[in-house]
Parts: sequence; C-alpha cells; structure tokens
Amino acid sequence: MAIDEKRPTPIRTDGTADFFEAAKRGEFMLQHCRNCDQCSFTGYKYCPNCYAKTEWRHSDGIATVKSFAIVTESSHGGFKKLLPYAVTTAVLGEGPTLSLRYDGEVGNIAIGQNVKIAFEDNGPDEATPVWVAL
Amino acid sequence: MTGALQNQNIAAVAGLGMTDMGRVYGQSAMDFAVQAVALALDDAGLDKNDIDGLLISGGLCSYLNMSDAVSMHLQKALGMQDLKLVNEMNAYGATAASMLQYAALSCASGQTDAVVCVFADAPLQEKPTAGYGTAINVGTGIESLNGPSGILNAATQFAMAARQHMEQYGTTSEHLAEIAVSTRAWASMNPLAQKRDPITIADHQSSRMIADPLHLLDCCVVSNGGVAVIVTSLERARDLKQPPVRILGWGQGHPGDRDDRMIHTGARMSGLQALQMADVELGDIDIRQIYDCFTYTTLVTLEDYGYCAKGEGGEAFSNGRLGPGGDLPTNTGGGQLSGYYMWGMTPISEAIIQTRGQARERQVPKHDLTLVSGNGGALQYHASLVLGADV
Repeated sequence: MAIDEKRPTPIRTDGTADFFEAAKRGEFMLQHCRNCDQCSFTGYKYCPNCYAKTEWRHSDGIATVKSFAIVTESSHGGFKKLLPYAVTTAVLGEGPTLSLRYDGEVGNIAIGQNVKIAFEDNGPDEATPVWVAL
Repeated sequence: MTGALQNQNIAAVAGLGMTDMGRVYGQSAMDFAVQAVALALDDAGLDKNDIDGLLISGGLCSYLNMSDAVSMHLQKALGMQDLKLVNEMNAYGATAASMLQYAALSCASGQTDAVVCVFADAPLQEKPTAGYGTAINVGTGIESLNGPSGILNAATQFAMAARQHMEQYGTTSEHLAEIAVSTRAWASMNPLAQKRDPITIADHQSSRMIADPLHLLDCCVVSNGGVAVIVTSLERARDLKQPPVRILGWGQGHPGDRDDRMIHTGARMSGLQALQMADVELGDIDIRQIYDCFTYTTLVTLEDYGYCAKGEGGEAFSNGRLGPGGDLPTNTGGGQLSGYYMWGMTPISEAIIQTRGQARERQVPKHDLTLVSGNGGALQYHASLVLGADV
C-alpha cells in the first residue's frame, strides 16, 4: 500500500520565515537574543531565557552527536527509499539541541562525534536541514 | 508535615468502565467514550445524574486531529447538562493521572460530588488511509522539521533515549528484553490483554528491529477503546458497589524540553511528591503500574522512582523481578507492551483492578498500595499517583 510517497515538507510560521528563507539559500541560522546573549531554536519570536525579542543569526551548524536511532522500517513511501536512516540528536556549539536525519552511512555515526548542518532540497517549497559528517 | 497536602481521607475511585479494546472496529472514539462511561456508572452503581463533573482526554485521534476524536462534544453525547466541572485536558500520556488528581481536588473542595474521567481513542482502522507514523507532519515551524527528518513516531525518540542510556550506563538490549518478557508473563493471565502468548529473551532478540536499538517487542501495542474512571469522596465511595480505591497521594513533574529529560525523567519529581503526600515510603509500595510505551520507559521510570541507583536498572530489573512471583510486581496486567494502549488509563485501570482484589489469576497477594505513573510526549510530562485499598 503506497501512502504519501512525497516526504512531508516543513510548515513555515511567522516566526520561522527567516529561518526557512535562509535554508533555501543553504544557510543555517539560530535565534540569538541581544539582551541576554543566549542562542535558542524554538521558532517562537521571544527568547525562552529572558523573553526579549530574538533575531535570526548565522551559525556554522557544528554539533556533537548525543544519540541516534537507526530507523529500519517505515510505512511511508518517501522514507522507504532511505532505509535504513539514522535520526540523530546533536548539540550545537551555541547550545541548542536538534534532532534531524543524518545524511550518510548509518554505520559511520557514533555518539560524541562531530557533525554539521547541510540542507537537502525538499522540492520547490522548502529546504530541510540534515546532519552530515564533518 | 507542613506545607504538603494530606489527602488520605479525601477521594477515592468508585467506578471503572472499560470497553472492548484492541482491534475493535466500527466505533469512533466518541462511541467508545460513551460506552466506557455507561460501564463505569454501572460498575459504581451510580446514575448519570449523580455525575456533576466530566474530564476528557483524547489519544492519538486527538493528536492527529482525526475526525470523531473524543472532544468537548462528549458532554452532549452523554446527555449531561448543568455540570459543575468540565474540561478537555492534555499532557499526553500524563493526562489520565492528572485528571484523577484534579477530580480528587474538585471532590475534596466540595466543588463536585462525582467526576468521571474519560479516555477514548480509535486510531486503528480496518483499511488504513493515514495514521501515526505514516505521513502526517504534526506541528508547524521548528516542530515541523520532525516530519521531513523522518521522525514519524515515538519509537525514534525513545530509541535515541535507550541508546544514550546504553552508552552511559552499559544497559543492553537483553536488559530491555527482560522487561518485555516479565510484562508478557503478566499479560498471559489477563483476558483483556492483546498479546498473551509467553515470550522469551530470544523471541525479543529475534523480533524485527523498528528503530535500532528498539525491537518490535520493545514497543507497545496500539488499541481502539475507551476507559472511564469515576472519582468521588471516600465517604461516598464507601456506600457504593465496589471497594473504594483511595487516591492517597499525587504529584507531577514536567521536565518540558530539558535536554537530559529522557535519562533523568519527571518520574523522580512527581514520584517523590506522590509518596510524600501519601505519607508512605517507596518500600511500602506493593505494586507498580508504570506507563510503558516502550520497555525503556519502564526501566527509566523505576530508576527515577528510586528502585535502584541511576543507571543500574538494566541489572536491577532482570531475572523476573518485575514478573509474576518476583519481588517487584510491575505492570501486572501486561501494561501497554502486551496489554492495551489506553495511554495513562492503562496503568490506572490495572491499579484499580488489583487494589480491589479483582485480578483473579494474576492477583498480587499484597495489594494495599500501588504506585502509578503516566508519561507524556517524549518524556516531557509526568504524573504519579499513589492508590490504596481502604484498609
């Protein structure tokens, strides 16, 4: 049974429009708060630390792998083609933690290793961040 | 004790209604909800007009915005008017235990006489067109990166947690298998359980991988069905049909998005509060009913409740200790792994059955005090209860 061969695309919000625009150019951005100098990645406009308004700022996207899961089955046609793939949680140098797909050989991934953000073309609408080996 | 509520004499569960559960088709979540309430009223020996409060919780159907999910319309479907308390609540798997807490508070304050707490879900379809893990991208903005990233179900997130626990503490897949095996041993004695054939460690190890390191037998079942629980004052419950199940203590602990929440869960905070309120020690607890969406959840919850030092759960809960005849009987109805997946109502319903002494073949001989957990989301939410027999 084929259900939705096309993988889902991200859904922009007012607070994340700048992020997804940058993603289309291949640039990764994080939220930064000028008031308390913290970085965040909530997609909501205000800093979760001090509630001042944040702005999107360039990040090198370098992170350390905290854990990963190797997905070995999927009922979703769009993901079947990618099996097995590793969903990876990694902590960015600036602090925020993100869970994204690791685009590479699943056998090459290990806890503690460094990865960085890249973007995969997600069709005409959006680009999606993935982790790649550093 | 100063500053802490002492609730020993306040509230009790007077009624439990459980519909057919599992691959039961042809009924919506709303249909199951109405049936569950009817069964709970009958169980308690109450009339619908005795109910003056209604708390509502949806499951996967609500999460996925499926039509006919249980909702605020339930009041209409139940023909209940002029209630003193109505709310649709959501802390995912922690909702059910939270509902009982608010119901107990409401009855204790005199706001209501009898509150029915309802959970119902019907995510399984005979001919699936969509569902959990298939195609739906839940959320918007940053949350909506999950779908494109292939994070399509909870197994992916719990697999990452389990791997981290393994890396940090040396926990193994065989340790998780021990939990699957002991939980299934209980299920084999529960006619309500969806999976009743006994399994071995080897069966677990050879079951197919879902999200490495989690095998199929690390994952819960999925169920259609409904459960309703009626909470009233202890005094009133004593005059009703069933032996009262006292709501002795409760607590909540919600880590939110704290980075280490899947290793150091909200069970610690909520469990300590619940035990303190009930004025009992962990060692006084006879039975544990743990929200077990995955084997790992049982392990980490028991660790955080304090049943062993942090990280030692793999060894500590092996060798049948959690199973029939073990010294820490846990998930005595087969939990969600082998029993039925009614979110937080799974552990609560079995706690009620055991506390009343109605568990027949699987009845734990000493059943005065039960510790119940409810876990929500990817461990962002946690609620605990201490339930007790009226002795």
